[in-house]
Amino acid sequence: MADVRLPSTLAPLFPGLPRRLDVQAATVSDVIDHLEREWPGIRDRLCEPGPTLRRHIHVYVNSERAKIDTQSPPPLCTTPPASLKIQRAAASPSADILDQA
Amino acid sequence: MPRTLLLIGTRKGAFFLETNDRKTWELRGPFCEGWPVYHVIHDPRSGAVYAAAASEWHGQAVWRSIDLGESWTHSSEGIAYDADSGREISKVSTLAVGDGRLLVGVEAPGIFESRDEGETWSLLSTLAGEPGSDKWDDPSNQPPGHLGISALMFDRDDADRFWAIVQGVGLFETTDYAQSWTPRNRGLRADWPREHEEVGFCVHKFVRSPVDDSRMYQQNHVGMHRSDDAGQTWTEITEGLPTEFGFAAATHPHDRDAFYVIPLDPGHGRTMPEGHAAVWRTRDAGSSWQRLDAGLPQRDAYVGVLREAMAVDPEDVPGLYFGTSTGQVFASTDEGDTWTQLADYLPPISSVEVAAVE
Repeated sequence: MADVRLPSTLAPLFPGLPRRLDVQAATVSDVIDHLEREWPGIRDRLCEPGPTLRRHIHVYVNSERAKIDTQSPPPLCTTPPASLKIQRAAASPSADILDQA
Repeated sequence: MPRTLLLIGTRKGAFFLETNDRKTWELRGPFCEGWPVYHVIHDPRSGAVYAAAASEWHGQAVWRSIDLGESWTHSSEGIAYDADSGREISKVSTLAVGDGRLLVGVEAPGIFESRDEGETWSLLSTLAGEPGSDKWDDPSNQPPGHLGISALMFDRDDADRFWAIVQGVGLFETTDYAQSWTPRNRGLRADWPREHEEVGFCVHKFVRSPVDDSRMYQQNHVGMHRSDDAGQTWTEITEGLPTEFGFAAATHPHDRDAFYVIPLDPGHGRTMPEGHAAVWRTRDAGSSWQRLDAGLPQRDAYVGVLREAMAVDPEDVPGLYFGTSTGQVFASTDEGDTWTQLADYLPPISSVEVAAVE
């Protein structure tokens, strides 16, 4: 089980999407698969074709930077739940919109 | 007079300016969750509004509203190159709609189509094999950002015919819905060496007269040009303008010979020359030009206007509108003779389009 936290910018795009939810998952990819099943289209907001995580979408599993195929260690199916945080990069690549960060 | 909406794309979302009389305007927005919006259009057939947007974090998508902005959905399903193609999409930059077909032009250069009003998309063309296409994806050949499809325009009568600008390469026409393409750049000027006779031109904006299909105008990187044969050949009409550079252009809805441009300083600033804001008009197809600045700021106005940021409404005495890189929207209801400011303090404006709605 993973305790998944999502960035504030996603919720307005997908009706009913919470900021925090529990997901039964072994990998980051599993988490995204689950989100895509529940909220179709969300994968495109997080991933590039491949799929791979978008350049400026950062995922942390138990506070460690993760990739889309990250599993163990740290496992996402431990008890208590592993923490999985998806967030935007603090700064965007375009200097003139840094105030959006 | 029908209700008029100005559809405004900005660096931080889309906005609508709405009026019933072209005197009192109401601003609505921001829409699209503050994503950078590059182009907003209205489909008069379905009534839908579409916005091409690209978030630095969440990628590119086309937003859709079927209730004039009250609610929005977005989709990018299918707007992607194959992962093994080596091509990436940095943004969706321009939209066109006609006969139930919705097109979006993207960077790196490609055109995607939707037949279900923007819910799903498929790749229509990358113009592969056209002269110059071998260099479009060369990293050493890129300007800041990435070369892309910067404009699309459907023919009014033939749904299989449309034009596309490949940024920094030129204008192309297809008459078989992107199965084949023909460069349409003969007569254009280029002040740099070119590898191919038919391409290598920096077409910023092209427009077509609503009353004469053969008449086109274009603002080029190095000059204004006119075509009297629907883009097959071009003649330069820059003489009389303060600079040869600019982005925005608009045609008069009822007069084939009347046309508007906003010349800009061609250097790094790309703002109106010497801080004096002005629109320029020809009424004789470019033989002469008139400076139109009554009501526009004439001091310290270092503003730019991008390629999609000027539009004309279809009224008997047409309204002319433009949005600036510093967030102002200006309007004229006397064919450019005098101007008023409709909005200020908006984010930098990428596009302005007119929608006439009942």
